[in-house]
Amino acid sequence: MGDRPTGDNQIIEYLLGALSADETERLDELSVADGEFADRVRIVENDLVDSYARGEMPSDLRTRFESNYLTTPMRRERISFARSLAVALDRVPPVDKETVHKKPQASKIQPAPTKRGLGAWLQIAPRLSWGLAAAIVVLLVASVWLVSERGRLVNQSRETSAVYEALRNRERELLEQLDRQRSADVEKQKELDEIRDKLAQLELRGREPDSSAAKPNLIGFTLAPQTRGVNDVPLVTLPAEPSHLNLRLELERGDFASYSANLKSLTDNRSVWASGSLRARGKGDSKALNVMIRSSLLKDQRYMLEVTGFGSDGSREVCGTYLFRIAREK
Amino acid sequence: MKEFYKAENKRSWTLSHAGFSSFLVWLDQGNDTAGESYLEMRRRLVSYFDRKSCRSPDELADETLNRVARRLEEEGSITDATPAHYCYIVAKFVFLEYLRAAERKQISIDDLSSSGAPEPNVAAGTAGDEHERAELRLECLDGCLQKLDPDNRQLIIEYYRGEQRAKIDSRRGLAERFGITSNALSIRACRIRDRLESCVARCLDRAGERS
Repeated sequence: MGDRPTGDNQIIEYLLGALSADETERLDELSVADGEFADRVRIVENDLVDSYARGEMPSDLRTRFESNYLTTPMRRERISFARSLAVALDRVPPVDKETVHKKPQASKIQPAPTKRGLGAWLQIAPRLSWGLAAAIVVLLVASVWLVSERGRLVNQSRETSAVYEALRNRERELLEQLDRQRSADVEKQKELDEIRDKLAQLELRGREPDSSAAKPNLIGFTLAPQTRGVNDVPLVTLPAEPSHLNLRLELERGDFASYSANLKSLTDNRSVWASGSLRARGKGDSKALNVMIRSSLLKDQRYMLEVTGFGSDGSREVCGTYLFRIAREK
Repeated sequence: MKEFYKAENKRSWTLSHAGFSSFLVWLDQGNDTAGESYLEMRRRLVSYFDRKSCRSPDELADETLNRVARRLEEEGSITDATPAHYCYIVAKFVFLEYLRAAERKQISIDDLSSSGAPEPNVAAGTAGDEHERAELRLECLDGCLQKLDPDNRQLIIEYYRGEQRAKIDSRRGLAERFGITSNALSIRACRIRDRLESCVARCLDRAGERS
């Protein structure tokens, strides 16, 4: 398969499913959202498929390719197509490369035989010689026209490429600006949520009767939806004294009219707490829910918080699950 | 799996002609590509779902695009993400729903990849059947190559000519002759190849046979 840039080696690993979950997700996103990367994946995949179809793939790579790539009917069909393409193209006779996209040469006029001279030519085969002369003139005119046309097309192609590059650069600049703006918006949203948490904490302190016992603490934690295995379960540490756990649940989909959350113990799959109707806060991709749970309900074990979204038409759908583990300070 | 998607799409909604036109314009982002943006996005989504070993990547890609078009028609505009990025967000969600549905139906991971164990030898099956299929595919491919315009046919022939190092050198020379970069040449060859694959698939379907 030849020498490849580092990027292409990573794409091969991606196609063989050998990258980490995070890296795979990053490239999944690029493969759909980034046109240049999508084209690059397509090119690398075609080369990989052709290499296998032609029997040119190194043996260690071939073993991995057969185990990890040839796992769907669509991919196996691509191999069959690649084999057919190789056979079909190998049957086509080679084209003389010198005649492809090269400047046509002007025909050279053969000199008249010196022994007889031009006059003798005209006398012996007048029609043939005039026809030949006419053909030569036509050929000369056509040659000149082709040369000028090719020059015009090359210039046009260069200009188009320049415009294309300029537009692509501008697109990249705008996307970078959008990303910076989004990051700024996310930061502001986080700051707003922190202020709200502090206000909620102050409000709680204001409601609780004055007592000699220690006032409950408010512990804040942000959870992302669980999309992969249960090995990466966040740990939430609670103080020994009574407290409230304020969970901020990041939503993948924030377009439901309302939500509810149900907390289950993963030890016995029993529901230990349920919320009322909740509304998402934030905007765009940064919507989230806030739920507050008394720490007295929570033990040192794993929990799952299941969020259900309710549409304005009455439809409902589980739209996120959040895993976390509780550990108490001694 | 079709019943699952019908059940999930509880509202009876169909995309209007005007809605589809608006969807194409939104995908084009100001450049009139005559629907090429839609086809390209669909192709990327099919590849994405195929890489995720989904049973019906074409259906999931269409479901994704339908949901995006519906959202666009209902909201009037989608401004919190670029079209391609938004399509990815919806596709991810469609994939998660697909996984949950599979778990609820207690489909095994092996069944999700639809064919179970990978086949090291792509030419499995009886030798005679496979030979016939290969011959038919070749016949279709010959016909599809003839349908290409001469420049594209020439490009694809020259692009795949040769082996290993010779092929790399040949492609470099081909790019110079066409007056484009090597990367642009590869992209163009990929697009022509995609058209050939689709043409061959349709030809095989018409012949009533797919491998």
